[in-house]
Amino acid sequence: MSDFSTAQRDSFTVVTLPARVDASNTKSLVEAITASGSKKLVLDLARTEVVDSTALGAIVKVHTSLQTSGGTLVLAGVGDGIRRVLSMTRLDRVFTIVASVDAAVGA
Amino acid sequence: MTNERTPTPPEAAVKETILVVDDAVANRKMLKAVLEQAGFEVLLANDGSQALTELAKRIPTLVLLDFMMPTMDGPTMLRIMRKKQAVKDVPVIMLTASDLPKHIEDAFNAGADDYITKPVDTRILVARVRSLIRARSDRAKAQAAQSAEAQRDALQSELEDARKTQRSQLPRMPQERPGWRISGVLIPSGEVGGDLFDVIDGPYGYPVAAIIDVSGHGVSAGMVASSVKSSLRLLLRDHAIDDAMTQLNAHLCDEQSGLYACAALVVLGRAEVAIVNAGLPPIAIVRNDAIVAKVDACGVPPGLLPGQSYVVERFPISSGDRIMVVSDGLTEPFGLADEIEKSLERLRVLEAVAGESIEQLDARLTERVRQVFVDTDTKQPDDATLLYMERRDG
Repeated sequence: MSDFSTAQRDSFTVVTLPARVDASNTKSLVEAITASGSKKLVLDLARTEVVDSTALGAIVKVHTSLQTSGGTLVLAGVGDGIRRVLSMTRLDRVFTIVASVDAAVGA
Repeated sequence: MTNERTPTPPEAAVKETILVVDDAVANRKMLKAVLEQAGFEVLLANDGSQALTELAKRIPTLVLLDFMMPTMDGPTMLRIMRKKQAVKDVPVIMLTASDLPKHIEDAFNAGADDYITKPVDTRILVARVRSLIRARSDRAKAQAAQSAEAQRDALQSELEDARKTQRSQLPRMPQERPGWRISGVLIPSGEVGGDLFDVIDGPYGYPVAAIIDVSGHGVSAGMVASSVKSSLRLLLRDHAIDDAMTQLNAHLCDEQSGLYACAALVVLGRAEVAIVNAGLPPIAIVRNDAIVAKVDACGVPPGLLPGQSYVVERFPISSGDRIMVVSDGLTEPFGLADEIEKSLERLRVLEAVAGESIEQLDARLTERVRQVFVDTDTKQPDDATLLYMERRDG
């Protein structure tokens, strides 16, 4: 069973990430995103404590790909640890980061 | 190379298959009935010549071979079969008309695995067929295990070679450069890792310290780290550090390896240091045993996004000041990724030791990085790298 659950919220596909996203499950994350076929994507990181460098690279790739095709990627519920990593790599200026999935879908 | 057709291997069959070779119709019928009753699929041949034709079509699990047959007898057929690569290891039970030592000796000399004398006791026949198939299967499993072990050993040896190659890419440490002494410690989390550091002769006559942390682990990360190091050596011949980082980013994005590198470059000038940090934890400038400034990342790690640019930060420096750069393998286990203070406190490297020789300094730092995980009972999940630069008089 995949670590990643997918749900539809309005026009957004919301992918909920597990506590740890690393080299061992990054492929499943990309598969879950690809399978959704969505161009409006929210990654719900509310339960996520660790996103390692491999996973971060994959998320950037998804972001770049969506941006190229006119899509959107929003990171929701980012905790302090991951926020620091995003800040350290300056990716906090690249991604759209919001407090929650509700905020992402504009509820 | 031969033109022999490759027969279908026995794995393709659901049931284990026995090829019965006997010129007597009654014997073939009886053996077929007994073996089918025991759950085997049975193929039939009238003599040695026909048996070889059958073997070319399909590889049975076992051959039950009559000794005396017209056209081609059992031993002759068996000698030919043992020379054919595809079927040479198929077990064979020879059916002999008597237990004459000469016949039995001939059967074994021809390559039989076992023999049964006629008239055949059907229970013993089935028991011997099963026993021989089991023995062959066990031997095949043992050989497969041995082969897997050999492959593991070969892989281990290759990884060890890769690790040695990577170690050989690190500059000799410690080293003294005009006005500076430099020490670097790298403890990989696995056999081959994505961290590297280097000290490069920069474009304006000052040395440039570089630290690289490639995403992921293992041989691919190690290879990209080596490539980044080579690129930086070339770029820093005639590019300033911010340009070099921009070029490195373009190069890694073009390569599309899927990997990226957090990297930092520090120009070790006489009166100031110039720093570009692209994704590494803040770089600490230490004066009088305390962090007096931190240089945060100014840009995205090279290889992640095309079209990035980087900004140089400059700090005046004087004798006794130290610059400390770590990879996140030395911050994350002890706090958040950007908490350089916690890392350096845990490492206990903020306090300078008066009168320490460069060799003593290097030994102390190496011991600190090795011991920090032991002392704090912390697992080392990532490569751990510390680059330490101390400004000296002169």
